[in-house]
Amino acid sequence: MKKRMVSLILALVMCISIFSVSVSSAEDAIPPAGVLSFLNYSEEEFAEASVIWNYLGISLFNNGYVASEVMTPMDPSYALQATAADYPVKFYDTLDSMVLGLLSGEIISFDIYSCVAKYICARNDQLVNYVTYDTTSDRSGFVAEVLDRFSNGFSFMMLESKTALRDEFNQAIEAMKADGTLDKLIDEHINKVIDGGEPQEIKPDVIEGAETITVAVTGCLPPMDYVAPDGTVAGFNTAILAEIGRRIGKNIKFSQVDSAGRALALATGAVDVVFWVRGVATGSKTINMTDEEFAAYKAEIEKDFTPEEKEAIAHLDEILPRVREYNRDMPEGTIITEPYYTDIPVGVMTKQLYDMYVAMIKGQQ
Amino acid sequence: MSFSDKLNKILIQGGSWKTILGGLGVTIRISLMALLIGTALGAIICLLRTRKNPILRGIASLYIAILRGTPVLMLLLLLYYGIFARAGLAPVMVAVFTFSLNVSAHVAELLRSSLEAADKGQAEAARTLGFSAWDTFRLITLPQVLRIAKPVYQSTIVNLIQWTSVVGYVTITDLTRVINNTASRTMQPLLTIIIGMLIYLALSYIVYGIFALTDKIKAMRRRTAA
Repeated sequence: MKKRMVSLILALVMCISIFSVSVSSAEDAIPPAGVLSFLNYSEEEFAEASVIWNYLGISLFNNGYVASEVMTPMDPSYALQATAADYPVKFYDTLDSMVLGLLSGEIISFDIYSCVAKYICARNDQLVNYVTYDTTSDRSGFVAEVLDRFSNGFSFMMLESKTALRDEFNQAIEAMKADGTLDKLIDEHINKVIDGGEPQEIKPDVIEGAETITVAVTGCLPPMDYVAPDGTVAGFNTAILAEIGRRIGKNIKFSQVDSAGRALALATGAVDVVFWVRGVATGSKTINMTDEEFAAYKAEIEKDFTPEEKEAIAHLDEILPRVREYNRDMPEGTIITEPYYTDIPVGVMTKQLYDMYVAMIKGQQ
Repeated sequence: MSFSDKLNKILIQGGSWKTILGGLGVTIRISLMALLIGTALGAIICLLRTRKNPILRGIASLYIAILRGTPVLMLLLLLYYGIFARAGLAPVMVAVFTFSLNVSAHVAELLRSSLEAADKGQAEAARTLGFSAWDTFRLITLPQVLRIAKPVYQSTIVNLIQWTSVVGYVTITDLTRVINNTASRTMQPLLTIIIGMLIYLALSYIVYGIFALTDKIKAMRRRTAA
């Protein structure tokens, strides 16, 4: 009897402790922001980098390159006083789990590619895209470098043994950029769709006797990677692939697979190509440079930067010294094509929170 | 967007309902085939498990321990992307094979424990009265075993239906895959997932309903015979 009482008391004490810790943790915790998972970066590294990205974002906002109803002009140096703990990050494997996390309050906002943000906000009135970038106006070298570092490139990934296929894809992508086909596809399959249109079914040509390339489609990143209501594969990525298939004389076959299974599908040869996104411009431009060449490139880029701007970029390079390790966020043994599309991640939050912030800012003004 | 608009987008627009039914069909097909093959295989494994021969018993025990002790998703990935990667088998066949193995281990153990729970005295009495071993098993032991095993077997079937939700990892478009695609396309993930869950729930209760119906039919026959 005595032993049972002691066990019961110990169990009760444990439960109370766990409850107290979790309540106090919940009360003190800053809600994280959501981001689609990176393969080889941790949430902590991303949070550290967020301090500098926030500084850079405020600089852009002050200069009119960022539009947001929930931001006000401020001295960006204040942002540098924050730490990674002030910008907690939570990784999600898929977009819809991230949307669920936002709607449930698990995260306060999430970052997603601009075209995807516009698509999802047009279809879910609980979501608002609260940040947009001006990527078309004339810009200073600093703004161009920042936008380069913010942007992500959409590419195709294959096993490193398939360099010939990668080169064929690259040639086709370059040709599509040069003759305007890419712009046309962007207009048809992204611009028209994000405003409320529906993606069209994609029917790749069937070439008799030609080799067939199998591509994994997840359907979880509209309007890029999309499955139509009737179950057929559609979306911008598949439109690009159908065009590439025509140009390189190969048949394209789409295979639907769960997002978490596509790397395995590629590694085992179940599919030949998957879609892959990663940071683009600075990394891709400098990947083949020697250290001396990179130093010269950096000096040229930063020659007109103010001391504060140079410090911010240097700080970002300290936290993420892998800007030149362009291949870091890829599985081992894979290669990717040149990006066929680039986009900048923007912020999405719930309409409720957005309205609250806007009212708060209006009240302060 | 009103609730009915959301439902329309998820279930009706663009022929969405056909795609959902298609995914449901894949789920039912895989589950049914795996259940039939798994049950037959499970009975054989149970037979080996109850043999006096220690080697046969050991092999059966090891088989059951491995298959019950590992997640079915891991087994599916191993078989599809590993063992059968170059075999040219359709993904559905590999999935049916995987779930058949998994179900057979559960059914084997279920039948073994039901056999042990059956009244051995009645079997001995039947043998004493001149019944052959096969007749004793068929007329005395088996009905008891099936009656004892039935509730757990129902749960095994429902679990199997739910386990098949991982086949999206191996390029099969089942009900879960269709629901995920629909959630991404419509950006109504919560409502879409609830609809998906209700469909799985309906499927589970159809299984329970079939078993309840068979019980009723048996009871009616007993009353008629009496």
